[in-house]
Amino acid sequence: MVLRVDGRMDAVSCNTFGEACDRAIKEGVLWLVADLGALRYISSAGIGTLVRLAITLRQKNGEIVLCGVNGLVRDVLQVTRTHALFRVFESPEEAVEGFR
Amino acid sequence: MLSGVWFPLRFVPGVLPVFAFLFALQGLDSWQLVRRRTVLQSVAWGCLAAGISYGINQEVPGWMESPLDWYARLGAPALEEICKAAWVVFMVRTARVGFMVDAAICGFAAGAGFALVENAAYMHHYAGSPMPILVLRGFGTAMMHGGTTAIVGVVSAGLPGRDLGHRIRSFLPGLALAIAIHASYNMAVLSPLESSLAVIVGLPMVFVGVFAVGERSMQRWMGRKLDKDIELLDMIASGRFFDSTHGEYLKAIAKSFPPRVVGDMLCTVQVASELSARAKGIMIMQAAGLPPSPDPSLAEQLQELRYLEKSIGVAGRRALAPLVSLTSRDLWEIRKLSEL
Repeated sequence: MVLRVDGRMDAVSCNTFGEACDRAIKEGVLWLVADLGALRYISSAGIGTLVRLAITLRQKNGEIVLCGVNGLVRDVLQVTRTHALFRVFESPEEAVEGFR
Repeated sequence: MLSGVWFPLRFVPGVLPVFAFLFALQGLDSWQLVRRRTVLQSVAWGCLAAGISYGINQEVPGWMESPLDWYARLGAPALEEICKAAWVVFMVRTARVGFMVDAAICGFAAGAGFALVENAAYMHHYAGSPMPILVLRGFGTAMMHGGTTAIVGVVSAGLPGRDLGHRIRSFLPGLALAIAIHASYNMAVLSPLESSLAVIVGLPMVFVGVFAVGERSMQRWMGRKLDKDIELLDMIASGRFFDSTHGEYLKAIAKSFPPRVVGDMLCTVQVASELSARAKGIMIMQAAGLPPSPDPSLAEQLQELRYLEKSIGVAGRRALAPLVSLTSRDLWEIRKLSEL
């Protein structure tokens, strides 16, 4: 499943994203692509949500990958050193191909 | 002539012009730094301060044995100025005022409220005086009270180094000047008529100077700060932040903080710059007489800023100070946004 995230993932909106992913996981989706191409901002709250989802899916032998990472989002992932937890692709198509 | 139950209202003609002056000052506030509600709150504090001062001043004679001339000339002015100035200290330290202009208006309003109550309380001393004397006395005293508290605000907001946490000692020079002026007024260095005229003529001139300097200072701050905000936002959005001197600085301090905190420091730079630029845009609109357009995302951004400040902690905020100004003016700016 490809989830397109736009705008901001901050202390308030990260919960909305997390709940959407949790619903997908409950329905049996184990391979998630988070398309962050339109995401302009992410703080530790958003990073925390991504990390939690990564751990949850790994426990179920699934995975969440990222694509379209740029600008501030890329910088925050790098300085927090959480970019190493995820496989990062340029586009959603490449990310889906990466699961095969 | 007013008599009987209407007698206390004889002070009103002396005090009304002061309130007219106060609202004229607010009209001159071209950047709309001070809301009408804040002016009224300042007046209310002044009334309360007058009640507190009056109560203490009535008790002091019972505590002392020696003649009380010195208390009337120095002690009472010091007490009254401290009570009025407490409002200015509160407003400055909580970033409710950020500039000389708004500090002057709030200080003057507190003084006007003080004079309102004081004139009513002491009206019986002037029972036999003709109305012109009552008006002059009331007006002169009210302008003096308003002016001295305004001076506390102007000096405190205008002192170099005012952003160093606004420690109490930064208010002392203005307070000392206010006490000196009030004590001189009480010591009758000049005749009552001369004192009143000196205040009535001199104070508006001081305010004209403060507003002129304040206007220029405001324009310089707006232009410089807005350019900096835009530059930072552009660097972050285009991924050039870490190639800049700002980015080099953040990389240098990153070694002292956990990675999560460093990430939130970068976010703080972004959010603070966005809010700062937005606040200036709103102020420009208001100065032009246009209402600011509603921004549904503003509440969320302010909440995010609070989250980030808590996340990075005091040490993080201090380390970030060269990148993100959190001076009293900047905090004032953010507070103004949150009032929209």
